Amino acid sequence: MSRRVLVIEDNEQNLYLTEFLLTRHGFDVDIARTGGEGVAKAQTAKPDLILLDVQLPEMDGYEVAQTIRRHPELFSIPIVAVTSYAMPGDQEQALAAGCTGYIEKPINPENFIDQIEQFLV
Amino acid sequence: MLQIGPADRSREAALSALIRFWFVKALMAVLVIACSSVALSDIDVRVGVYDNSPKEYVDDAGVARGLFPELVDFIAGEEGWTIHYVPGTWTECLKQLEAGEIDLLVDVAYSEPRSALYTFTNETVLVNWGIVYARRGLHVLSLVDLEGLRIAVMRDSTHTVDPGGIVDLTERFAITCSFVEADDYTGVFQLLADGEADVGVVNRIFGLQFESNYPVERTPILFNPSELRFALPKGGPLTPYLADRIDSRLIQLKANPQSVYYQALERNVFVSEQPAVVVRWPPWLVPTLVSAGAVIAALIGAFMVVRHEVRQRATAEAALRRSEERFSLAMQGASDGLWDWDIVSGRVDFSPRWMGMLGYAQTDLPPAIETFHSLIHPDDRPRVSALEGDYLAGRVDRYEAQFRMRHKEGHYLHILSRAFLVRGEPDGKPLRMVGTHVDVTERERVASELETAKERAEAADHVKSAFLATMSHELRTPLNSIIGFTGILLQSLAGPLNEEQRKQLSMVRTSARHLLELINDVLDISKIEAGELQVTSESIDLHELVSEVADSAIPMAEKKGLVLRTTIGSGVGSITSDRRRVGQILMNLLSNAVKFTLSGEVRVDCRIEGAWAAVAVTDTGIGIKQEDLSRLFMPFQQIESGLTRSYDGTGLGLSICRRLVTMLGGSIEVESEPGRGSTFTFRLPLQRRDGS
Repeated sequence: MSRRVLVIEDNEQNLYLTEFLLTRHGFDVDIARTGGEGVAKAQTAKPDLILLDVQLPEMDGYEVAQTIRRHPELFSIPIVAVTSYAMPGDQEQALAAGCTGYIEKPINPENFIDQIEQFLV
Repeated sequence: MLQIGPADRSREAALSALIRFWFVKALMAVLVIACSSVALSDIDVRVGVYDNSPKEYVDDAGVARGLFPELVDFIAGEEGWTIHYVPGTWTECLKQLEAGEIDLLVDVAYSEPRSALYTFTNETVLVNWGIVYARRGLHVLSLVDLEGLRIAVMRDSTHTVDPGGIVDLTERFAITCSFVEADDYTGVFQLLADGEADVGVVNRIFGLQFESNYPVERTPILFNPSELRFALPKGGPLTPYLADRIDSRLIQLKANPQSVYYQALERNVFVSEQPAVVVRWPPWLVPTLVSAGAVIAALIGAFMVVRHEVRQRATAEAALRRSEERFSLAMQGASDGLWDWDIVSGRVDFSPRWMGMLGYAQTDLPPAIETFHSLIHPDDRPRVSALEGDYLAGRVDRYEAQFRMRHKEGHYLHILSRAFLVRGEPDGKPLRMVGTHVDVTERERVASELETAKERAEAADHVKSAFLATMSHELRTPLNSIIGFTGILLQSLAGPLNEEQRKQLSMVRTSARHLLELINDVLDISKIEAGELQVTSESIDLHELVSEVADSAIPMAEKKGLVLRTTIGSGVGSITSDRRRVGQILMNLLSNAVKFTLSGEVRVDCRIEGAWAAVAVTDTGIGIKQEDLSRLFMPFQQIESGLTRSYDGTGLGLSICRRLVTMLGGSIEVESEPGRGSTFTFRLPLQRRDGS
C-alpha cells in the first residue's frame, strides 16, 4: 500500500512539523506552499492523501479542494482539511468544498498519524 | 296628533345634514384625540392657590381646598392631569403667573388691564362683588361716609386696584381717605379688629362667611361685580390647551344642575349666604291651583305628544354640541393639523395648526387642494398623488402616507397624513376627504439616528467577531508548531531526552495547552455573544456520551489521585440535543471538579427526571462560598477572584457552560459548601425543539 501524502501548507514551521511526523512514520511526503502549487503537485505526484491547510494565500484551501474534486484524474484522492476551528462554519465549509474530513489545529502529535491512517483505509 | 308640516321636514333635513356634518367632524376629532393622546395625557399642571376662603385656601394639613381647588381636582381627574398646588400670597401668585412659574391660577377676577397681562378662561366660575365692612358701631351707609377714614384693602385685589375698585371709586367721588394694605382678606378683617383701619374691603363671599368672627358690620356699599375665572400665563406652553379644556368642562358642569360644580358651590359658597327662607302660601293660591289643575291636565296630554319630538331633538342637539366641542378641541388644542377637502368644489379647509406646522398663517395660502399638493416634496408627489387617486377610486381602502412637505422657511418636514372619505348617498360618490397631519420630523430624525447607530454597532460587532476569529487563527498557527514540536520531542521522535529536558518540555506543553484552552474559550464566548454559535438538534445516546466523556477524564483524575465514579440511571437513553456541546459542558464540569479537588472523589450521576435528563458532577473539593455562588457563572470570575495562581483555568468554563445549557433549552445550578465540595447539575430537555 502506497503512502504518499501531499502537504499543502504556507507556514514554514507547521509544514516542517507535519513533514517530520509523516516522514518519521514512513510516509512519502510532497510539499506545496500555495494553493496553485498544491494543485500542480497533485497532478504530478498523484498522492494517496492530501493534507490541506485551509487558510492559504492567493487560492485558499476551499478553492484547492474544489479544483481537485473537479479534476478527472484527481477527484478520488481523499483530502483532509487542517482547520483551526476558528471561523464559524469553516469545517462545514471544508466538507462542502469537497474535503473528505478534517483535523483540528493544533494537531496532536500523539494521535496525528492515527487520524491520517483513517483516511487511507 | 301633531302634524309635521313641510317646514318641519325641511328643518329636519337640515338638521340631519348638520348631524352628518358634525358626525364627520366628531370622527375626525376622535381620530385626532387618539393620535395625540400620548401628547396630552400625563400632563403636570402647577396651580397657584392663595388664601381666599371659601373659594380657595390651604388647610392645616397643607391640602388645597375650597370651590376652585375642588373644580380643578375634578377637571384634572377627568383629563388625567397631575396637579401640583403652589401656595402663596395673592401677590406672589400673580408674580408666579406672570413669570410662567405656575400654569394656572385659581380665582382671578377678569378685567381689561389684567387680560393684557394674563390669559383668562372664557368661562366665569362665579360673579363676586366687593363689599365694605366697618368697625362695629361706625355707621357707614354710603360711599361718602368713607371720607377721612382709613380703609383696609387687600394688596393687588381687583376690588382695590382695578377700574371700579375702591381706589377708583373714592377718587371718582373725590373722597379723601387713606389705605392700609393687607396680604389677604383675613388680614383686612384683622386690621379692623386691631383698630388699624376704620373700614375694610373684602369680597362678598368671604365677608358673608367670616363676618361673624370679627367685630365688624356689613355696610350697604356693594360695588365692582367681578367675573371670577382661571388665569393662565400668557404664552405658556400649556395655556391654550388648559384654557380650552377648562372652558369645555365648565360649560358641561354648569349645564348640569347635579354636577360637581353646583355641589361645590353649595358646599363652599352658599352655605352661610342666605338665611333660611320660610315660604308661606298665600290663601288665594289654593283655589287658583285647583282650577289651574284642570287646565294643566289638558296641557299634559299635548305635552306628551310634543315631548317625544322635543326629546329627540334635544338628544340630537346635545350630540351635536358634543361633537362641536370635540372638534373645536381638536382644531385648537391638538398638535395635529387638520384638512377637509370638499372634492366637489375643490375647496380645502386647513386648520390653523395645519398651516402653522408649515410656518404659515391661515390666510397665507389659498384654501385649495393645489396648496396641499404644491407643498409636497417633488420626489414624494407622484407617490402621494397615486395613493390619493387609488383611494378616491376605491382601489385601496386606507389613506395613510408619510411624505415631506416644504416649510415656509424652505426646509422639509416629515408629515404623517391620514384621512378618510365621506361618500354621498345613495351613489357613493366621494364628497369630502378629511384628514390629519402629524409632524413626525423629529421621530424620523431619531429613527434615522438610531438606524445609523445600529448599523455602526453592527459593523463594530462584525469587526470584533472577525478580529477575534482572525486572532484566534493567527494564535493557533504558532501554537500548532509549539505543541506539535513539543510532542515530537517528548515522544523522542527526534532523539532521546534526559529527565530535566523531559520535565521542562512537559511544562512547555502544559502552558501551550492552557493557552490553547484560553483561545478556544474566548472564541466560544465571543461566538455565543455574537449569536454565531449554532447548536444542533440530533438524536444522541446520552448514556454512551456520558460514559465516554467520564472515561476520558479518568486519566486526569487519576493523575491527582482522585477516584472518578460514574452512575448512569437505567432509564437514560437517547435525547435530542447537540452531542458536541453536551460533551463540552460535561467535560468542563469534570475538569473543574478535578482541578479544584485535592483528595477524595469526583462523581458523575446521570438520571431522568420527568421530561428532563439531569447530569450532576459532585466533587469533594474546596467548595464555593455562598456569596461567590451568584458570580460563578459570569465570565472571568476565577481570574478576578485571583485563584488562577493555584488553579489553572480560564475562568470562562462555567460561563460557557451556562450559555450552552441555555441554548440547549436547559438549566444549570450549583450547590456547594466550602471545604466539603460542590455539586453542579445541568438539566436538558429530553426533546429539544429547534430554536428553544
